[in-house]
Amino acid sequence: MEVYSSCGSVLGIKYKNGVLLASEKIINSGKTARYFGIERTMRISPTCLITASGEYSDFQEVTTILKERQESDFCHNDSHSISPKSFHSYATRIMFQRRNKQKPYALRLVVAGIESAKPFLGTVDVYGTPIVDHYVATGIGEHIAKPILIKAYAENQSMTREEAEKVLTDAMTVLFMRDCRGYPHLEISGIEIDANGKVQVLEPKDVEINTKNRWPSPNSVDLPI
Amino acid sequence: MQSDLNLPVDLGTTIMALKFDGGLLLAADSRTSQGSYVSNRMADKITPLIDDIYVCRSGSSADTQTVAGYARYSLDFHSQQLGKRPSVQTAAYILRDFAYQNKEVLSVSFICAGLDDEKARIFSIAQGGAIFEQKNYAAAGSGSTYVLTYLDEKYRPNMTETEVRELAVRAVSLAMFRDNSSGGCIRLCVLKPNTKPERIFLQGDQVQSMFPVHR
Repeated sequence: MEVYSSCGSVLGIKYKNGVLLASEKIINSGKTARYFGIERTMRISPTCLITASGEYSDFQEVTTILKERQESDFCHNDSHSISPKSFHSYATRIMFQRRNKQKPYALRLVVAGIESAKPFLGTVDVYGTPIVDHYVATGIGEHIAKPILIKAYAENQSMTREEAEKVLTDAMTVLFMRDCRGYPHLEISGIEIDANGKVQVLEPKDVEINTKNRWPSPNSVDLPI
Repeated sequence: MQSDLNLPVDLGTTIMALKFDGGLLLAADSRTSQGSYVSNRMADKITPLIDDIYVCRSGSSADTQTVAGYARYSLDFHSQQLGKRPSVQTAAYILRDFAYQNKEVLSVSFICAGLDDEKARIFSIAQGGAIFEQKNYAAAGSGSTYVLTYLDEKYRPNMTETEVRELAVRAVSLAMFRDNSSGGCIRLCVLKPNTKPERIFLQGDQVQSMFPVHR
């Protein structure tokens, strides 16, 4: 499946009472930075967010499918709402069905939300493999940034939102420096549950990556002989 | 030796749409190529969909002409049921739906632009069917890669119509200079509220005189 408008790595991490997602606000066309200021995280329901890396047109399509599911559920008006875990399961089924038709959605989907008053974070890959975990990293971020998230989570299982934001920003900074398709303008979005049990989708935050003091010396060995 | 006689007709192109203070400008080159042969040097890539909603086409000639044709029909039908001209967003999404649902067989990319109640709107539809609403300007086609940074640098919001015309003409001619798949003449389309769309045509020799002097 050819990817024409690709979106970059997404990072996600659970904190004490919520989930944070970080992604670059840019769409690439091959190795050209093509569209800027793109919203990467979509709100499916009052308790669920979705984001993805891969082909952006497929992401727009899957978002539409899930939103339609949510709308039809809303119209039932039976005070039952689809939980993020169910959306994750549904997304897994759609991805797997397409995989079986040899027409996969070229996506690594990330589903985040609040499930039974606890943070939920899961991914689905092109084959329809569901993974539910405390932290996620897609694309090249899985190699470069995920170890940073693993270490941070190992040191502190109940981070505050600010600490989680710092971890994500640090990891995205490394990703920006080491990923050709990286871009210094991030969107940090999230969803949390407060002490009263009220679920709140956080206002997406625009963050500019700062690489000050990350360029220690001009030396580089390019002429070994 | 491989025969070049049956190469698909391709709109290797430079197309763009820019907002200005008081309206919208669409610009395109006029070259259609079949491999290295220029099969139409006077092509019109700016196609009307309905009233004053236009689409700039790039990609395969056959595909874009057909999809634009279906979109025109669909919009005509829709506007009769709706009782008024549909929004630019509707037009753009109709194009997007064709592009996305048939992405395995189509090679199309569009810039759909028009005015909604005096507000200019530009939608870019990329190769796979991804749709983006652009805030100020959009450029697409093979030639656009050469001038995206030029537009990034020179464009400012709320420019006057004359400034934007000059900028667009300059950008398209620079793209034609470097991109072999773009060339010929420059066609423009100016959309302003309560005004008939204005089609402007800059002849090839006029364009050539604007090419940079390469040292």
